[in-house]
Amino acid sequence: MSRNDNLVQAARAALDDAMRRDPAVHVLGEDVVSGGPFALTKGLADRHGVARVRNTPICEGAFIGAGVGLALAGARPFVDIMFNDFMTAASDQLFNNAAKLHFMGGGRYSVPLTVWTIAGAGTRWGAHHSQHLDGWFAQVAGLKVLSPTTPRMAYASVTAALEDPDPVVVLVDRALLYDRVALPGDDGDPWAPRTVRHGDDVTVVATGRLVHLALEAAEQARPSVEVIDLQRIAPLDVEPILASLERTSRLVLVHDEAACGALSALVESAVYERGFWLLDAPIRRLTSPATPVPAAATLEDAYMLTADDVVAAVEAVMAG
Amino acid sequence: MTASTWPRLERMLRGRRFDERLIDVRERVTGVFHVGIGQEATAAAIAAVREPDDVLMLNHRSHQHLAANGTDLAPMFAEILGRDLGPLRGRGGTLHLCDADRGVPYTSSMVGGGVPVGLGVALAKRRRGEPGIAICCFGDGALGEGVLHECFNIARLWDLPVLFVCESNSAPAAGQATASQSAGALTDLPQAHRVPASRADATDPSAIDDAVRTAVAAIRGGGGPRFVLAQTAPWPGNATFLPTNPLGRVELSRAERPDHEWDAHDPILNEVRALRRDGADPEALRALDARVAAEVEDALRAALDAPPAPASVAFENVRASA
Repeated sequence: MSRNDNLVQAARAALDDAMRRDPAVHVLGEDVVSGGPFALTKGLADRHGVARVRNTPICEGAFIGAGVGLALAGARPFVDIMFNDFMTAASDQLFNNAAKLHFMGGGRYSVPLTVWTIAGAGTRWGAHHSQHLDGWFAQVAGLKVLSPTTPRMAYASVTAALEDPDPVVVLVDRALLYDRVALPGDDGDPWAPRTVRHGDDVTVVATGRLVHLALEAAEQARPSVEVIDLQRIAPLDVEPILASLERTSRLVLVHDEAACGALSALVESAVYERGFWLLDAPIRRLTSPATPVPAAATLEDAYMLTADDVVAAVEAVMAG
Repeated sequence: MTASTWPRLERMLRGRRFDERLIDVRERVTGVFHVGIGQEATAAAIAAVREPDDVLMLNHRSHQHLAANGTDLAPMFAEILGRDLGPLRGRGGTLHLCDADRGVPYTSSMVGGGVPVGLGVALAKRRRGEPGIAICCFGDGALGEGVLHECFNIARLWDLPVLFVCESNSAPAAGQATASQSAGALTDLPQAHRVPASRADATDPSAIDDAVRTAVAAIRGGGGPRFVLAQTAPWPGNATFLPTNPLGRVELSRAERPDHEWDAHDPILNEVRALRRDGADPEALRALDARVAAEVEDALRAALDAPPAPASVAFENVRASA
């Protein structure tokens, strides 16, 4: 990748480099030959041929399932699901085949499948194109989920996913696709949560675009805020959060998903189980409202979390 | 919609003038939208046979259907532009446009997502002995989804009163139906489940009208499901995100003096040509067009003048009870 790459360009560079290194890497998805709506795979068919960069009809179940079979047979498939909402049409293949094949094959087979997808609101596309389903994926034993928040981490995540022996969902926040912002720790491990801002009073753990929002909020908030970019959604690694709480003893979890199904609930329970005695105040969870994502600008803006919401949550956990 | 000498032309023009103006104001539309330009004849054919008890399941490309069915255009614009005046008060936008008063209860923007829902409505009607059929519209791309094939199967197994309308805007590929379909013809797919299928040129309004009328008569007569393939020619302005209008506003005079190669595939110009052959007065046709254009203009202005929905609307109607 080059220094000026945005997140999509960096992900494409990682895929391109992997395809050069490893002839087993194949790409499947809707419109991947032309590059797709976000230009993720632009130019790859020209460089690597349409036998390796393969357009599929609109049939998410069939091509995720075919990705599982490719992986089973020794290939390294990269499957593009245009929006994570469309995974609902492929959930049998992802949840029952990809996630469980290693286990149900007695450990004999591995499924080195990478599923790339995007999630999140902010583009006025309404309820079927704007959900955040990472908390859903995180609840399926056998799946790994990465959520990179910068171009360099997107490069690292795609590279790591393609080298991993297990099915990995690389889920990117829609709002970050064309982002170029770098963060501290960009040269680190995509599989580990990373501290992107040091602080003493309160720890904020965030994912996706909310990492950037939390950094903005940290500048505005009175208390000294530490910000952790979770990055690795599944399996969860709460060690870095517990280490941070040793110093701050207060925790705010910020996640773009309805509270009823949120990833933050999984993090919260893991922290309570292992770090209850580190806490000076109840954990605060800041999530999207429990409503489908509306389309109109005024409604979607009301739905979406803002930096002010994060500041308020930080102040509240300090008072609590 | 008022009674017209040429209801079919009026139904089609309502969709066309709506979509053309929407493209004109595309910068005001947040998000994405799809237009039905070139597909209006199918919409008009369905609207002409639709009874009040029928349910119509649409998809992400719905404007031409709603316009043909007589949906008020101001709420349509308003929904797309995120105003409180929209039927969903902006919750849905263009991808989820609907009109409960005209048999369109809900619109899924998952490809093929609404089709099985239509089957369920049809099953309920049959079980209760109620009149009405389900008309399920989808694009040719939806035939890639397994759920469509599942629907053909149970529609036949249960003999449901369902009309499947495949609005194909893909060009045929060498030796197969489309670039993404291995079948020789799209009509082979329902026929494999013994759902009778016909194909019509949907750039010719009377041809698609005949096909839809025949299929619906068979369904209403208790014959079970039918499939109609409405074949159109791809319209050059369609795009993944925001459509453009490279052919410009289609003046009816283009029926006689085409500006573009695509004008030969334009169902509205084809309808005008047919009406002129039957002796229709060109001035009267122009007057109808002007009346529709004025209706569209008033609707657009009303939508743009309408306030956006208050934020609280985003949090209402999530569940029917606590």
